[in-house]
Amino acid sequence: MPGQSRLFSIGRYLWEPATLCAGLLILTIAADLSQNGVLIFVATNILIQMVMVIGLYVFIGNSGILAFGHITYAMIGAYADAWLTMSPFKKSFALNLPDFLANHSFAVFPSLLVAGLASGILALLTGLPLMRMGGIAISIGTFAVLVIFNTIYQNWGDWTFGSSTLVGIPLYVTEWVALAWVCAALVVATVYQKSRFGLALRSSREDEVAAHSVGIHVRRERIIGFALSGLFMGVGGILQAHFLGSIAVSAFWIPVTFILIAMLMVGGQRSLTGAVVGTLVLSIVMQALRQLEAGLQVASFNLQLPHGLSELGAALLMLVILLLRKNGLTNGREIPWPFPDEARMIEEGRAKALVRLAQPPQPLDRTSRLEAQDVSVQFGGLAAITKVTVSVARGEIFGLIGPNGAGKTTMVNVLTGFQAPTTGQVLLNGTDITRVTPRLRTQQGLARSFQAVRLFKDMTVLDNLEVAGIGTGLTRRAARDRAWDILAWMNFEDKALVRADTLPYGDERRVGLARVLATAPQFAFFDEPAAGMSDRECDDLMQLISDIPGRFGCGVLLIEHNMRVVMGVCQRIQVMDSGRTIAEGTAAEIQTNPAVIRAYLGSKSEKTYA
Amino acid sequence: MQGFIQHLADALSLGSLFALTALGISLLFGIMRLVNFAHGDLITIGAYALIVPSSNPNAVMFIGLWPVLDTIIAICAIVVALAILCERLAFKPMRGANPSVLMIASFAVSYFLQNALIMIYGSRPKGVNLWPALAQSVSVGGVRLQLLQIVTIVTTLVLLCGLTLFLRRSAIGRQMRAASENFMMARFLGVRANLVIAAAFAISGFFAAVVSLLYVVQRGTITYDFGVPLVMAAFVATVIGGMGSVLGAVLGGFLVGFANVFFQVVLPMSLRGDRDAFVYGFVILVLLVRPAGLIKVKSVQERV
Amino acid sequence: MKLVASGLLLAALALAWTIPSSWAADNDIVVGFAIAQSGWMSENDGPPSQGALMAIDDINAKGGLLGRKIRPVFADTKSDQTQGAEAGESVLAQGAKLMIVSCDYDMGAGAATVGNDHKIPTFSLCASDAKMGVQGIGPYAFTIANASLTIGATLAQWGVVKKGWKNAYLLLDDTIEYNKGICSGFETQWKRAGGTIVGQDSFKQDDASIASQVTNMQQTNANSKIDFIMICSHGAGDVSAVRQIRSAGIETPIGGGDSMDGDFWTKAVPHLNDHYASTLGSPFGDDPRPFVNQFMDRMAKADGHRPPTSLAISGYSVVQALALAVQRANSLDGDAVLAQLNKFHDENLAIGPTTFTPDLHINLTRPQAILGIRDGKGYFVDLVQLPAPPPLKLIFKHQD
Repeated sequence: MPGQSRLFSIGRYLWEPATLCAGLLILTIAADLSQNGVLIFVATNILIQMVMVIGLYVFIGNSGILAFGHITYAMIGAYADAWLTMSPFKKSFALNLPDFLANHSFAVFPSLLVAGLASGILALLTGLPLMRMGGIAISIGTFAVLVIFNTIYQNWGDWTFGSSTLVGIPLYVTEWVALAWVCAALVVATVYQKSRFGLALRSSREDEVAAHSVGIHVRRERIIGFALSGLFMGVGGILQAHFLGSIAVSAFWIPVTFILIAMLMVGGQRSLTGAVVGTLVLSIVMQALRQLEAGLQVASFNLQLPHGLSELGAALLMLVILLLRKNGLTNGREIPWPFPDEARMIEEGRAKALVRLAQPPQPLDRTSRLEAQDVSVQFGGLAAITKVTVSVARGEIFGLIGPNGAGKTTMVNVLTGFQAPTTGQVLLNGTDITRVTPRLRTQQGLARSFQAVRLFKDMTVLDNLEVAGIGTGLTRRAARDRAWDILAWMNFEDKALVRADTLPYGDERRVGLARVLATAPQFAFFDEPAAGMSDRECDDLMQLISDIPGRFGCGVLLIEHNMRVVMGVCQRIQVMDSGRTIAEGTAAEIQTNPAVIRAYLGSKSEKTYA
Repeated sequence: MQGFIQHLADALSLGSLFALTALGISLLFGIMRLVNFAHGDLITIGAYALIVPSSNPNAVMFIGLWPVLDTIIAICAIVVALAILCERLAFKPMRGANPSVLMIASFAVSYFLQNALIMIYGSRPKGVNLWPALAQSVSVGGVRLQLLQIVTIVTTLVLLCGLTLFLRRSAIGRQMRAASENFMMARFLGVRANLVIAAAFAISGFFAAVVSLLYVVQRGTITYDFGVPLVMAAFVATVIGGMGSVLGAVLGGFLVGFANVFFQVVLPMSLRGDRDAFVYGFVILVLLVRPAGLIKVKSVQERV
Repeated sequence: MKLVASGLLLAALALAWTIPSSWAADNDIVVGFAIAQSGWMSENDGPPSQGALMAIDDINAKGGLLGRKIRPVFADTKSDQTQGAEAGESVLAQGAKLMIVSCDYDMGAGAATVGNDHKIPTFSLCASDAKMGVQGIGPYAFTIANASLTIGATLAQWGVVKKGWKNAYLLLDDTIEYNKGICSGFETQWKRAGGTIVGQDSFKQDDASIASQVTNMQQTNANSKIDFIMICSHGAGDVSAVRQIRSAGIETPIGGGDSMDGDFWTKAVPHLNDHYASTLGSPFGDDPRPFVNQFMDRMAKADGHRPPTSLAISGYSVVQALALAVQRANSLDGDAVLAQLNKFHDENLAIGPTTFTPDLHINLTRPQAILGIRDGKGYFVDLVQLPAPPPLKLIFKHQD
């Protein structure tokens, strides 16, 4: 029944945040029942930190980029909220705010929303320039942002009280308020994680180059993730302010940054459950060590550690956990749905795909053409390609072959935008696209696979294909449908829910090929798809490739060393050697071309391939 | 004009200190992609090694009282040994983990070391007077130069040349460069990973020891976070200079030093408190224009 | 392996749950010390806490307070603000009716807020900030110390009136508020007393070098001769600044706040002369007040080495103040004790005459001791009192 399955799918969707929230609820109730003021304090503090660690997961976990400066957004949120919620009386002693803020104070909930939003917006604004950088420069850039804001806030006496602690912030964050916000954070983080934005960001984490190649706007996805996580940090900072009743710029600095990141790492950087688990484990252990420092009565024996040892213990624990479990305690995995239904999903996917595949494919425009004209590529003094022209029409299967180092992959790089030619042009239907980026070319219909395959390892096969659909502008549902279609066509749907890094080599290459098709290309480039395949697998591959132009309406350019495959599927073949074209023609013509034979085997042998 | 030369001298010596620190960091990053946050603590421990271990607020000089050469050798030996110990205990078991995990591990090591120092030596700053002759100033044509400043600048240049020669000419140096380009390939070709990495840590430790001694003469007091400001500046310097490039690290160090002095001199009194914001704003600017740093190192770029 | 790990975690969880709760049916008067026992602040809190414990011992030896023994309980703030709040909760859970917090406004704010919220009279060991009081933390918070403005102002008063200096140069380490207060007080009083500020500059605690600042100073000196350099800083940054100035060949007298108390730090500046610090008293045994010298001797006997600074006296005075108020109120009720504290007028405590009003929980004109350094050795110079308090508006904010 549709109603029931709807409920079921919502349940499945929110399973993880619901379970985690329930677990935390039990712990909070336990703390509450103890009636112990310190325990309740500790529990509330843990929950507030959890909101921030979840925020860190949203960006760091999904993007794979370590951001050092996130605590800045907690600071921005906390102070913005203080400006709104502190009583005018308290403000008058410490701050010199404009009349609007100095003489008013606002209700706590709307203030939290406004201040939290402000942190998110500031994260967005600072993220814009930061995401222009690459790799580790981004991490250092986030650190620079932290220093900049820290310095400004320390000197902005009128608004922040400078380096002094600002007190008199209304207290309203109890353990229940904190728990509510953690649950809200879990839900939002889950929605993001399962959305097309989360998926796209994770693809850039797995393989940035491959993500570009399937049309993902990596920079934009990073900015979105960054802004959202800044918002979480802002809320966390606000909660902390209304929990302690005071804030100080110096508290939003490196020591707390380190602890929060460590909590995420210990739990498992790549997992939302990891954020929760890591926070709990590290907090509990540190609290236990602190108890030992304070002295513990065991029978008549007073057990006491020297003060300062709990910090050492925490550091050692972090090292040990990271050593033993490089991906954290959860190993980067989430809480699985308890009712195994993979078979059902595969069956459903296959059934729907077969219905769609039964429809006739759209007619294709055989005049559409992609050309590289007189292209030369030089690396320093080395000429990789010298004045080569390649032309592919939609609907044809074109082979580009030659000995190793001939320049074939470089040619594909030029055609798909990964390599700028030193001279020459690339024309798509007559339009010059030489300066267009790979991502835009993918969106215009040029998609390529890689020699090194470059699958998104920590994702299922289905997700790998879905990313390609999302990259070319589909919604998640439509992208998923397209993915099932391709898998069904390839008879590969049984492995749809397998993680890409567990695939055998041959299957990997097939998925790489499928991912190209998932972008609905006009021109598909396959770089050695048959490498490492057995004869029988090659036969299957040849069948698939021959079927592609008809089914998908695109042109195919194939780089391949396996001559059986090349001669079997390519209508036209171009042979390169040492960066130049040495022959062009049909399979039959190429096989008997002496220049080709010489290039492959050297001048001694004149053996032909059958 | 005299003022300008004075400020130039100040900038050069500050830059040298940052450059030396950056040299220690960039080598490890080049080979292992490790951003070693514990480097600052190596510098700190080098300084603490000069005095008698005790929590007494009155610091008593120990190794610092030995003849100059002996002190240098002893401190270098201690810091290098500590660096290699860190490598064996913390980083070697984690080899192959992704760079973020390594970074957090180095943070954990740093956290451990700093808290251990507070426990052993107490948190009060210790007054240390090492080689007082170096702290004196000389006047050269109206420009005030501390002997220490001259020594720092000269040391930086000499060690830079030394390191470059070492990397180019010596067997281990060549292996290091190979490992820096492509670690896996280098191993296949017979480069012994353990030796190369241990050597890198040792050199890193050596540079930390040198910085430690120079900085102690400059500052005169040591605290548990003695090396932290240097390392913060040095990280930034390494990234703007170009990670993995030895020359880039030095260039970045001087750039950050110059930026610091420039803003300290140029900013009006009311904004001088915000000096660090301007310096780091400048850093972001550089990274925007050259995200890979000023000196691009090929091997760090990805091949499609 | 997993079993072992889970077992350990459960043990840790159980341990974390064993947080102490209040001792029931106990006749002792519990005083809670929510102070830094680890981390960078621990050495600042140590000696004043010792002084406080000595005062507790003295009172107990004489029969206790209201006929009951005073019992101290502790909780470690770990030099962290959030932990400070937890420490405050902890000592309250252990039954504290009076609270003592860290010798620093920021470090003590966490626990003090908790104390204030529970209507517990709370004293900072020696924070020099008026925000550890009514206008900041709240009506139940006090500090025994002089305001940071007073610390600076007293030195200025002495410099102009007693030493006859005219031109001063300010070097402010604007990393923390406390330093800004010292410079603000110094500048105001220097001008009030008839002196001139010929220039100023700023630096940061962590600056690797203040060569540029020294250069600027020398350029100013070329135009108007500087008689006195006031460095408003603390800790390593302050000592390093003194060292770098003297290394540059500048022999002008230098001043500092109470973080330059003692002479344990002079090792960093060989043969230092003409440095003057404004602080509570002399730890060198030459203070004109016999109690101070006796106190220092007593601490030396307990520790095995002379106390590095005179700041332990403030801790002793905190307990004196609390005991006096409890005595007069004849009760431990927070409001009753508070009422008595607010009536303090020139009460003779170890730290000096102490006054509190319902509107001001910090002292503004208590005499400060000026300590000098001669060839690296410290000695008592003078005891100076401000003729009038520093401007009230500067006490609370914009201390720059």
